[in-house]
Amino acid sequence: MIKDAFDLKFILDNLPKIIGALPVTISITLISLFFGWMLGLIFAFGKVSGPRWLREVLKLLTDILRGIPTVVLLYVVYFGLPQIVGSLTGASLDGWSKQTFVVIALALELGISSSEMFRSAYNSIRKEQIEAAWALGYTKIQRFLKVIVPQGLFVILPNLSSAVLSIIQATALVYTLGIYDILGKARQIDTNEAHVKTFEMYLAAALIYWALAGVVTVIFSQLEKRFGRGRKVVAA
Amino acid sequence: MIKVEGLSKSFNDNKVLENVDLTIENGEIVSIIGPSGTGKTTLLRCINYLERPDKGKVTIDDLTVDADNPSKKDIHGLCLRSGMVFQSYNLFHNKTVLENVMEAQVIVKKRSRKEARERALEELKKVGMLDWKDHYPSQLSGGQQQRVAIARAISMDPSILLLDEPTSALDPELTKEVQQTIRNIAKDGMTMLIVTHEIEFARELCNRIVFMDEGHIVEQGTPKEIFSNPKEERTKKFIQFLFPQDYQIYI
Ligand SMILES: Nc1ncnc2c1ncn2[C@@H]1O[C@H](COP(=O)(O)OP(=O)(O)OP(=O)(O)O)[C@@H](O)[C@H]1O
Ligand SMILES: [Mg+2]
Repeated sequence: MIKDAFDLKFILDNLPKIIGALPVTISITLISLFFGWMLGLIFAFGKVSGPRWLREVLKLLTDILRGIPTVVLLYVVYFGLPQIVGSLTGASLDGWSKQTFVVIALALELGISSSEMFRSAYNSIRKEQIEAAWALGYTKIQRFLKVIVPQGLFVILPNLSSAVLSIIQATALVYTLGIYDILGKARQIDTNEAHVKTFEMYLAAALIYWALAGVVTVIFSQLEKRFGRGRKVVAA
Repeated sequence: MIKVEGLSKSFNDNKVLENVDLTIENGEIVSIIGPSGTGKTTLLRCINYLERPDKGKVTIDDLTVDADNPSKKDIHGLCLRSGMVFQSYNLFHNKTVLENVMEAQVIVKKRSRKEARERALEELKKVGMLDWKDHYPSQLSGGQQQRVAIARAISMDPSILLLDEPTSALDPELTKEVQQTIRNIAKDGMTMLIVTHEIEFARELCNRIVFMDEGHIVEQGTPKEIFSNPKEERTKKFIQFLFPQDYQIYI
């Protein structure tokens, strides 16, 4: 079939269909972020105050996972986890959705990469700030919630923002498992048109990813303003 | 009342405090003086367990904490009964002046926000920082930050206020305003233990001067006794070092 000229109308006509897949991309992103950062906090805690053997294990895990491309990790989890669980416990993971495996892979990767970020944020908090809270009678949990989290959050916000963006991008890999996220949907439409609209559909997908990234950036710049209080001299 | 008994603390092999005993009665204002590196800061920090002593007891009012087996609750109790003013102010840099003075009242003392706010405004007024309540620490001079830090500590109603060289990071002008603030607090009857190199200030403010050297309390007494008539050789040397000419004429 002969390729037609650039077809703007086709993009506009199909954009709603692709946007229809937005919830898939967003839900995978949010769930992966949630579990990834939880895992990251736990790993960071282990790295800061765990026993020596735990710190060694986490360090090794960090080195291994950092070297593996996301797509490879995704397939290792997708194909490997059922086998491992099966041979260890005899349980079957057949009932698990593809999304579950995607979330596990992405959360694992994010957990490892964010643990380093959380650790260095913790180290960046000046000792005196924590000592002031100690002397005032804050409990350990109060020191964590009232001093370490708000002050550390400001330090890591730029990293959090780029983590969100890279998770969104990583979700585009799920089409390879046959999940209809934004990219999966765009490719499906293109396939239905016998691949004459490939450029249009990828462009449409790009537009949506770009808009999504824009929203994330705006949200984080608001958060930075909120948590950056007192950092800069605010006009009196 | 605060009582330190047999307090010892080493950092690795460096014996910083050895068997220190010190008692301060309610309403007393006591100053610790002594050469650099003799453990003055460490002594203060051992009282609220910012530094954990190796040995010895700390008593504030009804609570005695033994370094041999202190419970978390006991250590927390020492913090509740004492307030600390740091050399570097240590205000929460992400909070306004008012929030700095309010927060601990709300989360530690469990006061209502309204109550905490009223108390904070009252203390800020006392230290002359009311007009700055909505500013951030980074917008204040060092002297102003230290006055807020004093207000923050006082608002928690400590039995004793521990001050570690509260003016040593300030230039002379700002030093005066912070010293005036401390004098005002003294008038309110606050019990205080102050580490300072400002000898004139200590002489005029304190009931008692404690001279420390190399981890020991060498001598203590009224300002007059210590500055005009020191008994120990080491004290004499230190006083002469402070007032190189005939030190008597300063007294
Ligand atoms: N956290 C620490 N780790 C190791 N050594 C320490 C620590 N804190 C203090 N020291 C050492 O303990 C000794 C006493 O220190 P400290 O700060 O109590 O002295 P100081 O009397 O307050 O001195 P200055 O007048 O200079 O403030 C010093 O030799 C110091 O190097
Ligand atoms: Mg000191």
